[in-house]
Amino acid sequence: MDKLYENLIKEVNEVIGVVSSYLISSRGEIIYPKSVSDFSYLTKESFVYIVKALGIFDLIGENVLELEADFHDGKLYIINNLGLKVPTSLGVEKVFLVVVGGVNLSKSHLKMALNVSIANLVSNKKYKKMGDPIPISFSSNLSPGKLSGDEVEYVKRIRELAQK
Amino acid sequence: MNNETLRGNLSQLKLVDILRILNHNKRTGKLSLQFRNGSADIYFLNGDIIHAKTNDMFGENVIYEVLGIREGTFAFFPNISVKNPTINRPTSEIIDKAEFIDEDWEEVSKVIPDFNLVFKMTSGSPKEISLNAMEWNVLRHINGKDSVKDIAEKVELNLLDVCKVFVKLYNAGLIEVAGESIEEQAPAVSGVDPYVFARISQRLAEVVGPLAEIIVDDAIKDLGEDKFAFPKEKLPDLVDLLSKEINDPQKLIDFQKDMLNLIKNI
Repeated sequence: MDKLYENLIKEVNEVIGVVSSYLISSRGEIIYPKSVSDFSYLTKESFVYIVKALGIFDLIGENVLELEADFHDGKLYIINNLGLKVPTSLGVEKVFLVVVGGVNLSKSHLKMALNVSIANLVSNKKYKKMGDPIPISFSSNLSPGKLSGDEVEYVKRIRELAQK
Repeated sequence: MNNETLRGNLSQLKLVDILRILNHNKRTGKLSLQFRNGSADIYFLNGDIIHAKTNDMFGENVIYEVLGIREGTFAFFPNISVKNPTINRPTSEIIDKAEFIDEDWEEVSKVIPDFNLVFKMTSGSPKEISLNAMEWNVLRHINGKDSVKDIAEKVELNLLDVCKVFVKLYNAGLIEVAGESIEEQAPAVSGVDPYVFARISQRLAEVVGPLAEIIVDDAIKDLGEDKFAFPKEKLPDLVDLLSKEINDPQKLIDFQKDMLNLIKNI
C-alpha cells in the first residue's frame, strides 16, 4: 500500500511548478512521504498550524475543501476533499493534501495528476478492503492542551463569535 | 506499417515519395509537415489525398507549393479524418504532377536551397540574356534585401516559377547571393512542437471520434493561443478543456493518464 501513496506523492511532485507535497492526517502528522528529508520549504510545525486553521474553519461552520495561500515566493494549496483514507497507527484515518508550489504551479496539471493517481489508488483491492476511517475532526486539535496560551485566547474568541 | 506514427526528415525522404508510400499502402490519416517558416497538413482517406492546408491556403496547390521544401520534418498520424475535403482529383494524377514538379524543384534547390535567401545584382559583366515580362518583373524586385519568398509574394506569382527565374538570372551571372533574410533569422517563438497536438488529437479521437482535431483547435483558440507558439505550461489547461468532452469516467482517467505521460516526455 505504501507504494501506492508514495506514487501519488511522486505524481503530484512531477506537476509543473510543484516543489513538494504531503499527505497529512487531521492530527497534523505527515503520513506520506514516509521519509521527508527536506523541510526547507515548510516545517513540520507548519502542518500543525494548517490543521489548527482547518479546525477553526470547522468551528465557524466553514468546512474547507480547498484552500490557496501565498507562501514565500509561491503558493500553498490545501486540498481537503480528496476523500482519501490511509492506514495509520490509530487505524484508518482520512488525510488531506498539502502542496507547496511556485507561482507557476499549474492547477489543471495538479487536478489531472490527482485524478489519475487517486483513481489508481482507490481501484486497488487492498484499498477497497480498508475499513471506515476513525472519526477525528480538525477542531479536536483545538483543545486547550494542544494550544499555546495565545492560541487558547484566539480560539476562545472565535468560539464566541461562532456562537453568535 | 502499423498504428505507430511515421516520422522522418524531408532531407532524407522526399515528400513525393512519402505521398506515394501512403497512397500505395491505402493509409487514412494526416501527414504533417513542419518546416522553418510554417507547416502543412495533407489528409489521406484509404490512400487518396482528400485535403491539404497550410496557415493561409488549402487544396491541391498546397502540395505543389511545399514540394520545394527540402529542410523539415514529417509525421503521419493514422485515423485522423477531415470534415470538409477539398481535393477531388485522383491521387495518381496529383502524384504524377508532383513528381514532375519535384524534378523542377530539384534543379531549383541547387541554387536556392532556402527560400529565405536574398539575392543582389552582380557587379561583374553578365552573359547576354533575353528576358520576358515576368522575368523582368522579378528582376526589378531583386534589391539585396528581400528574400526569394518575399519577392514571390510581391509579384504574386507561383513560388516555383519565381525560383526558376532566379535560377535563370543566377546562371546568367546577373544576380548573386547576398545573404539570408534578417527577418527570417529572428529566433523562432518557442512553443510546443505542433506534432504534440496531432498526438493529442489522435488520442482524443479514440474517445470522441473524428471531430477530435476540431475540438483541439477550438480549445487552443479558447485559451487564446496559437498552435505554432503554444506554451508548454498551458498544455495541462488544454487537456483540462478537452477532458470536458469525455463523459465516460474510465475513458477520462485513461485519457488523462496518457496526457500526463505525454506532458512528462515533452
